[in-house]
Amino acid sequence: MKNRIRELRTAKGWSQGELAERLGVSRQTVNAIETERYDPSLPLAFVIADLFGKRIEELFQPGKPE
Amino acid sequence: MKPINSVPWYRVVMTVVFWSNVLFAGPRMILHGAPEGAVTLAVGLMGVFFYPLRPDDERTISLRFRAVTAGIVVSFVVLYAGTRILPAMVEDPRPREVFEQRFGIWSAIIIAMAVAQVLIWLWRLWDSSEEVPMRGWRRVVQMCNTGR
Repeated sequence: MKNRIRELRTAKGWSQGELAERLGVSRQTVNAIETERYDPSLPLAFVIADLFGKRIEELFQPGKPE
Repeated sequence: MKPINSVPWYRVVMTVVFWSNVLFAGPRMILHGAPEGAVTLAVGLMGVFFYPLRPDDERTISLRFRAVTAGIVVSFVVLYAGTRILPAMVEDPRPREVFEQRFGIWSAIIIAMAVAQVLIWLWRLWDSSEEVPMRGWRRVVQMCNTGR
């Protein structure tokens, strides 16, 4: 699944560690999501969307990474 | 006593005792043939593996489950091969019990936990690295893990 998390995180000026702290996950997990190695669960996706003030479909798009 | 880097002193002492047990006491007892060494090592490895660094991190939970499953499979394959297949291939064809070794079921737990520990470290290392094009066996592992 493609996502825009890295783009939105850098726009806010947060590091991966800072985002991980806000989400309550590890920095490795944030990196795995950003690099599209791991698709987060629905509850975590809602937390991410809420944190960036977006809807889930604005953050995640179906489809395999290129 | 003052805390070290805001970690309470009793945790530092417990950590030192724990790692001394796992790294020195357990293997030393095993070398001297004491089954308690296997118990110490197995419990220590389980403690390291299940220590909740991030108990609510869903990726860690999923990887731990996968690593334990792989560890158990590898452990049974290794022990089964060592106690049934290899003896049958050499001079002694008598079938043996899978857990008949001196350390019994603890040897299975040690192998499973050691394999799981290595796997979880590799996967977390892979998670923390940037995307790089993969080739060879790493590409095979990636396809097994992600299906793509």
